[in-house]
Amino acid sequence: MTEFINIISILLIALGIIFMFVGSVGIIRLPDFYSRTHAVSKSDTLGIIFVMLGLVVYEGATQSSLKLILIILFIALSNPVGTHALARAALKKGLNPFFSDDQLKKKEEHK
Amino acid sequence: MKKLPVFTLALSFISLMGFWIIMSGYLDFIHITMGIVTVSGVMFVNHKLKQHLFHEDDLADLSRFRFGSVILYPFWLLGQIIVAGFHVVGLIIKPSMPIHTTLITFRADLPSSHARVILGTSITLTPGTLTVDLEDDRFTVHALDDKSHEGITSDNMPRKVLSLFEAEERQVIHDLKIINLTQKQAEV
Repeated sequence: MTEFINIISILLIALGIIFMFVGSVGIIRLPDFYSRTHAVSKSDTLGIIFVMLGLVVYEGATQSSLKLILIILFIALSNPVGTHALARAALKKGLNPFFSDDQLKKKEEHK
Repeated sequence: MKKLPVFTLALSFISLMGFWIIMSGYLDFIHITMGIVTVSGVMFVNHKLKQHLFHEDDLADLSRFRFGSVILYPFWLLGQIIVAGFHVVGLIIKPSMPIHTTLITFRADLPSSHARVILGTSITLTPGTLTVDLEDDRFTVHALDDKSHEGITSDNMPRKVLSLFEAEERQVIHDLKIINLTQKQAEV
């Protein structure tokens, strides 16, 4: 039974780390500020949720796992606020988003 | 200024007390008494702030919530987040990176400012969509590709948020605009 619980928690934590890694790759690959914000905030939120869930499964029904669930809750509440503040500040400062269709149009004009 | 009903006060006392018990972990007389004193102090200090109306249509009391939907909503949202998260990971990892960035603007017909904040936060929490601006009832949302904003344009998520407050189902979003060229950005 303990082995089974260990396997589940390892799988969840590994999944969380994969999400965080892909988020970091996204920061490098994506084209502009807004889409990079997607990568850094969302993948990280999901990554932290999975890592914490893995730890909750490992810990079992104790006080520590209740605290971990509270951490998940507070991250889920505070992360969108920070992300929204960043993106809104960029828009108010007049930073235009990059649109994929713009590039397609430019390519057609060059032809 | 608004009057706080007993139900709201009782609910915030119970949730703060639950937080205290989880944090302390002791259930004996002396720790519970210290908790009650602390929670009462916190509620006393925050009372004026909670009475303040930040918007005209602030939610007056928590009993307007439909509690059956409120309990189910986080689990539904977690499911949406996981599904959308895998989609975004697939987008980023593919060598061709088939993203199609768009801005969508729409008006949401929701009963209170709290409902609109819940919708905005849910949109931001879901990977692939990001609430860029929220003024009165007008949302500006940045989406990574077409499948990401499907849940909003098909009125699925706004309806779920409405179901937290009202039993009847109706069209929540209107004046939907999808912007995917910089030239059109100037008009907004």
